[in-house]
Amino acid sequence: MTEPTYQFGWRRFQFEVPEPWEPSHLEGDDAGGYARLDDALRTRLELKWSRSYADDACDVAFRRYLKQLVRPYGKRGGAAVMPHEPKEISLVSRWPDGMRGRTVRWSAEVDGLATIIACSRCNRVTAIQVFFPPGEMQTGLMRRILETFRDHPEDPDGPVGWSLYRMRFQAPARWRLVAHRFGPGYAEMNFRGPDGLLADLRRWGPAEIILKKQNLLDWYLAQFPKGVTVEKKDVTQAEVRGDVVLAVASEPRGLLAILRRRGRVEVAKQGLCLQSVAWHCPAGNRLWMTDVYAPTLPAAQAGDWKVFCHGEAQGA
Amino acid sequence: MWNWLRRRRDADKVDRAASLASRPVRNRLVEWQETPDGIITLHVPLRQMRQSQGKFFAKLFPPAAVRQVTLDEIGSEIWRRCDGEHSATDLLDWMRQRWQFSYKEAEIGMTGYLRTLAKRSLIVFVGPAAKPGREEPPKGLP
Repeated sequence: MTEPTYQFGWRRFQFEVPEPWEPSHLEGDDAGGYARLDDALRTRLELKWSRSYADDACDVAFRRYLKQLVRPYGKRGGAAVMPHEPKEISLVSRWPDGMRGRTVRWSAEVDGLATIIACSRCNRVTAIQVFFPPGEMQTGLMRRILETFRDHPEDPDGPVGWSLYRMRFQAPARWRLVAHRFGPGYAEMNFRGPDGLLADLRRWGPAEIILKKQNLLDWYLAQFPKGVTVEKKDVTQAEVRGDVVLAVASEPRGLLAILRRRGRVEVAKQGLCLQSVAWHCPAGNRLWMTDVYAPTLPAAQAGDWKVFCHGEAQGA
Repeated sequence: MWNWLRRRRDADKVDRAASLASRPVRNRLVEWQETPDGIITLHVPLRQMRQSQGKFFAKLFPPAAVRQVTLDEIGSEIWRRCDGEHSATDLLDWMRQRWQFSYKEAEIGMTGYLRTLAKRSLIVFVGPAAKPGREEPPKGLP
């Protein structure tokens, strides 16, 4: 693979793909879901995963995949269309422990390579399908994707890498992504951790335009959700690797806050302790903000994640 | 009947490569002015009501002849480049370079913005010109 690549990371999956391939569709959760990556002109990669505890999960899914390759033409049936020459090939000589994969190549309107991977450690079966323009199949590219493919972190309690749309960060393995929103100029990912922990990562851009109208501190104070009141005096300011970093550690007091933390009242962010960090990354022209809400301040401060906004890691 | 409709619909489809190669051009009837900090305000002429349609109401509430639309900073820079010289791909490349957007971010933002401008008839898209010895422009483009 000669073109520059990046490590795509989504829901514990990690593998290298060419730089122009970016997600155009993301759905599902850790147990089952679907992701599609496009380049400028066409769909290039599809990823579909589900849970399976069967011993022969790989073979079953592989047979099902081959069956699905043959599709009736049109809605009312008719002649079956079989992609030409579906042929099983071997691209990876040795899969990591607990992982097994089978690859098939086929040609139709486009050429394709598909691999079904079953992992006995995380009990996920994954179908990864890469499309090529007719006559331009690159087995080397698929081999590179498969060789770098991981569907769970090495350390079950260690950090999990996430990387998409130039957002690269590591979050604790026990945090689960519950919601996400990606749009031009704004991206948000919401996690839920153990013991009522809530964590949000947000990114805005271009910072150059946002900071024209207001300074970083005023902008930061306006970003907290309704009910979470942070005052200027609560904000500490520091400089980390040349970037201005603002931070808040707040512990709401009062009866309502105590009841909320103890679960007597519906848990809302305004009753929880908050550890928040925001910074301006001039190199990436972005504003970043990480918020961790937890019942106690030490728990919120223990939320260990690293954001690589422009190569360097900024910790929350 | 349905097959005929489906064929018509398919014939009108423009593929991704063709739409990225098309060049947005500003509507010549729309006047625009620029502030010193680069923000553009468009003056869009409105269709005038015929006398018979609302003579009475038109006298009471004279309709505006022009609607003003103020663009934001990025929108203004894109508008300036809708000159028929730059293709959608050029605009995407410029957005990625100027604002450090990822490809998808730039594509979604820019196509959505251009679609809005086109819906309001502020711009039109011109297909790539056919040159002798080169392949014909894709069907479906004006």
